[in-house]
Amino acid sequence: MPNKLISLSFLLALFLSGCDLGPSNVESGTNNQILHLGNGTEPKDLDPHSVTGVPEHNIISALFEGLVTVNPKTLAPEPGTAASWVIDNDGKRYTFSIRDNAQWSNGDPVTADDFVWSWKRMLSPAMASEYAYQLFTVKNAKQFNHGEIKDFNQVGVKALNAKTLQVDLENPTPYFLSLLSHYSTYAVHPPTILKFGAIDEAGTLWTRPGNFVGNGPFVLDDWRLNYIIRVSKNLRYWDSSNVQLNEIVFYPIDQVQTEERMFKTGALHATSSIPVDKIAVYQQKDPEKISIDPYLGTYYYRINVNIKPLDDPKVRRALSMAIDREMLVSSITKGGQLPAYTFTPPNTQGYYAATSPITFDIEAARQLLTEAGYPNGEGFPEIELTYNTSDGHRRIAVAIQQMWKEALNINIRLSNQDWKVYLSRIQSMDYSIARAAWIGDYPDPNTFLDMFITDGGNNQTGWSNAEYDRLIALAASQSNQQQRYRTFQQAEALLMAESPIIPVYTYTCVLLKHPQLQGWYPNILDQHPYKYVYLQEPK
Amino acid sequence: MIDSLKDYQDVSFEQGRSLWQDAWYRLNKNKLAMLGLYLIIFFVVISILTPWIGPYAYETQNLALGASAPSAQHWLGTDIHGRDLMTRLMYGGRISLMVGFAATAVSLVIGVLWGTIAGYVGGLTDTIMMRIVDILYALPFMIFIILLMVVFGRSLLLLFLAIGLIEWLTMARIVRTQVLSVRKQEFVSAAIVTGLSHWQIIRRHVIPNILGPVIVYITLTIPSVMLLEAFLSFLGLGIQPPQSSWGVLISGGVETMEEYPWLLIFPGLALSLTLFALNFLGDGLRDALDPRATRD
Repeated sequence: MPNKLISLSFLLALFLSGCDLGPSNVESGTNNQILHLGNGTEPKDLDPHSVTGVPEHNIISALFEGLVTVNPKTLAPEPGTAASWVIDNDGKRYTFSIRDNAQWSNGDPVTADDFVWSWKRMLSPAMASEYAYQLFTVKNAKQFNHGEIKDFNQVGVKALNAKTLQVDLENPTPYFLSLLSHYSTYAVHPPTILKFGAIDEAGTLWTRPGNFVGNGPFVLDDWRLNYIIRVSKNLRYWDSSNVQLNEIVFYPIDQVQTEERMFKTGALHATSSIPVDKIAVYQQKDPEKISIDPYLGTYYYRINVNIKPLDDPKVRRALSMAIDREMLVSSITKGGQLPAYTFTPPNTQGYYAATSPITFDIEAARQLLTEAGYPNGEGFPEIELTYNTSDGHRRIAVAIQQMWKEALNINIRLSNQDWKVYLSRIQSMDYSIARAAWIGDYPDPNTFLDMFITDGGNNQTGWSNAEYDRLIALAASQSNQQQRYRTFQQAEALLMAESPIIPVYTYTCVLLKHPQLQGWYPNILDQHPYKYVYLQEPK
Repeated sequence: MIDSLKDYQDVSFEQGRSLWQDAWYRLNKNKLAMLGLYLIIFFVVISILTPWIGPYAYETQNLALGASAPSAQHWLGTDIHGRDLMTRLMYGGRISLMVGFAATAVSLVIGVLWGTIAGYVGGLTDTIMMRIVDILYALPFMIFIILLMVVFGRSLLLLFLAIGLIEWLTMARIVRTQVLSVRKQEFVSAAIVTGLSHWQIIRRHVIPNILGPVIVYITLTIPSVMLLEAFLSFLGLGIQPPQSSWGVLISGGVETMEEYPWLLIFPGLALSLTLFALNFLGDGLRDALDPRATRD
């Protein structure tokens, strides 16, 4: 029972802080280079081709390495599994040289064929990967994913020899290298996958400890459901002499309060978030332990546009305009977040959205609702707002529920779901309005805006607009950055006018970390390549 | 003559008193139990009258105010959304008390009937009935409740029923053992000899003799039901925001106890006062209703 668990863990925390029970995780971990990390929620899986979440990302980035990795401070692409690359054909052809000493954790060499095979897996229609569109910049990849091309040889990825990979793109794509540091483009070990299922089968047992084979700086040691995931240093990793951590232990903790208590008692080096009520306390008492940094992410609500009355853009805009976002960020989230009236966060690699048709305007919202046929909310059915169980999400939902009630006189039923149930309900479109968040995968507005193309894997609102699709495709073909951003602005204005989503606020990354955690640099994607991280007592 | 006649008229036969009159008399003398009774009546009256008391609505938010400590405007302070805690506490009491009493009533009716029949009839009937109880015991109750909620949708009535349907099992067992011991006593044999029907025996002789333990168990069931409701609401199966119950208020208060202690203290106080009151009352009722106690 979670209730009991909370009070138990609290008692335990009291007990631990009162008595000396030997070194804490933080102390012993620092001495032995074992990193203890709060990781939010239990991951859905550890298969880079079938997951979409941030908790999964945090673990997968320890277990795999893409062709390209990122600089921990600037996020600029750096050689990863590929030692170098050559770009020619006006930016449409990339030729990667894979490291000679890159190998899988079972000793097999990492080859160009592994990448070709993995991308085929990622793009297979039967795999139904939400992130398949990440590779749509590759020539014919979209057609293959949509089943229009059956022969994978026509897709623009080819192994010239065992260690040379050639990729042809549809268009010169300025962010292509950044894309390759994202887990959806990682290679998996073909014989391991095939041992436990077909190439395009998700959810097989290959990700269990013992079965698992990866090519990252760490390898999976232990995975106990809702308890821990432990990874240890992979001695076969090409750069393992530079990896300083011996182990990382990830703790899936849904309850931010529990996570904070564990942090306080020295069980965690860093948390994944912090209870909002604690932000001011830490800022006052332990300012060196709390970090608040800009984060390339948007907190928003998805709307299922297939069901009445949410199929009417006027209703959706009315809902969006009745939310007092300034009040939400100043009174509820309190972590320096910015109210969001557009989907793309401001200054995404220099991009700013055009003025949004969404503002906080109760009168206009009422007017829109009247035009849609629900004057003063009359006849508006009770709709359900779904969120994954978390105190923070509940607070926001409760506040918005009341704002809609007062401004528009409509009733919302709140329903909280476990993370996996929540994900599967969103995926099967079994919701009316659902809480969501999107964290950029690479620093470019495209990572936000190409989500909502027709049938995009992470669209999941049922919204489809031919003009929007055209604009996103147009932007992809434009090489002039200014032109491209102007096209994105048009697309985003259209998105907000139609409002299949309700942006709420632009994230900040607020978390707790002990000063022992070194090599952990703030950046807008909150990505921290573990090979640069180490633990050291502060001087 | 006149005098003697008057004397004769004055001699009144002591009026026979029923079990209930006796009980009331004895209960009245138990100060703690009466205090408990008054407290419970007070809580019940308050929660019935809630919609007409106080200047605030339980769902009206004042986000700019946020969580504020008790003050002249908000006697018990406000919660994170700036809602008046006292109003929410009174509304929460409505739901908690309703769940507590209704679910306990459901479990009482089923449990007492089941246990009495099993214990009184005995033999194969007893074996079969108690094995059914054993089987139901073995089912994880959460799955049962979740199934009910999924199949029939969420409603307050169903919540009462679901909790009641789980809580009757222990009640049935307690009642059965009591009935077994009472049934073997001489006064029951005497009643059978005088030709009373089974129903009359159960009503007049068996049930009054098992009331004590049953009442004590009821006073334990009500609080555990209230806590169960809080747990179900936590999982999203019970009360949903903006509605609230004491259990929900407490579990919310625990999360912020360091920053806003009043959000935990007052709901906690309300729940524990109710539980104390119920325990005192239950204790008093058990003594008062014991037919073996001396009449005085």
